[in-house]
Amino acid sequence: MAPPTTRSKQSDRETRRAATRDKLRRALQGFHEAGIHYTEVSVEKLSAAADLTRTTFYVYFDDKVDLLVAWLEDVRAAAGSAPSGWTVRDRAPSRAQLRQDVADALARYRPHTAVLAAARDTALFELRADAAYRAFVRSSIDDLADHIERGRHGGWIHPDLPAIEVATWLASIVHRTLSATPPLDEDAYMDRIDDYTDILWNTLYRGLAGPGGSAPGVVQIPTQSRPRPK
Amino acid sequence: MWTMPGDQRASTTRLEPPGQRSRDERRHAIVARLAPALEDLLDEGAVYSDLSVAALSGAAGISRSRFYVYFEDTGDLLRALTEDAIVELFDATLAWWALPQDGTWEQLRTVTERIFATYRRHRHLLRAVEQVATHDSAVRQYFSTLFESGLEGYAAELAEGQTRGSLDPTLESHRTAELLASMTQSGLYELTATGQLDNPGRWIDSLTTIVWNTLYAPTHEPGQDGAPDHA
Repeated sequence: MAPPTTRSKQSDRETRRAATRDKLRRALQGFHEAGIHYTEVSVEKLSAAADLTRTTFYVYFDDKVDLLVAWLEDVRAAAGSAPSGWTVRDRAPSRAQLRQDVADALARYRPHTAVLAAARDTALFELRADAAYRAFVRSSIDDLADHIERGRHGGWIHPDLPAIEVATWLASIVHRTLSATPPLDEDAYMDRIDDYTDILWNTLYRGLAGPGGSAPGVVQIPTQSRPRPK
Repeated sequence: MWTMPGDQRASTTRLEPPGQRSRDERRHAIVARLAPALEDLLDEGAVYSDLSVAALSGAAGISRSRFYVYFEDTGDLLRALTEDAIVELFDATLAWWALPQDGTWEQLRTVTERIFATYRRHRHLLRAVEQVATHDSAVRQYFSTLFESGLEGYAAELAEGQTRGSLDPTLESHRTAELLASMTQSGLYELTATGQLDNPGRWIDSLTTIVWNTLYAPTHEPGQDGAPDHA
């Protein structure tokens, strides 16, 4: 009898592994909505919530970190690895455009907040999870930093603004929101869209965002878009 | 519910015979003795959640049974250990919202620098708080209450600055304070974890610019001399 390593057996196993992963992910989502962190749920409890035995869990995954890394790959595949639409623009958006861009970017990740929360929490303790989560966050930092670079050269973002550093701060707050436990409710989520629009606008574009921007070197130009104090 | 350490001390002292050190004072003394030893352990890569009561009481020079006289569990000890550090961090951050009407970017940078220095001094304990909060709901609750009361203070300070005319009057005070404070917290955590806090100049500059552009730029431009343009 042939050993059970034929292609079809392997792909069977892959399919079953993916199905198990999805079941466990639905269980994770339940815990996340109840405000319970992945780091405080045992394999036993997680499997039970997914109607699986602990043994089944270990057939497909080495441990919770192994499962988490696989989930993060699922999120990457589902959310797409292309940069968010707004970061590839080559001019400053209007404020209304920016708000829409922020809303679109957040909407890409919103279905995945349970996994992002689990990843962030586990990354605090575990090197493999830390590397996977950091790579994930890193791609949004890089997208935003590229955008800032383009703006600096195009004259619509202040030339002295340090791209990587500013992108890191801004991405860190967005990712903290996306990885909150329990997830934000609808009102808080809508508030965040406004908050991020404000901070991005004020930090990146305000003052230089007029049509054609302004000559590099002109540091500060009063905004037209915000009420001035009397 | 969080009460000021001073209140607790006062109420406990009343129950003690005069002249005898209160339980709370002894608790404080243990914490003061343990803190440096613990910082060393964490600096060497120990994870707070992995430390046993035996290890922690050993580091503090007390027996395991005496540990339980003073602390409910290791989470309770962590609260006692980090409260001062967190209050210190709040104190440093409070100055962000209180720049005078003719305040400058450089002054704001000095404040940011102090926030960084405070965080750096306590980075191991602050990291432990983040970790333990993911699996200990009492610790989580305690620190989120502490963070909330810090936010109340920031928002009040920010609103006062708006009244004085030193910062952008269109900002919603509580949300703006929360946004900038949590950005700082998560960013500093990240920088610590990746060892970038050792060379912080560019990070201090960039955070200062984000805070400046959000809070002060609208009321401080275009006057290059630092004078508010509406004066």
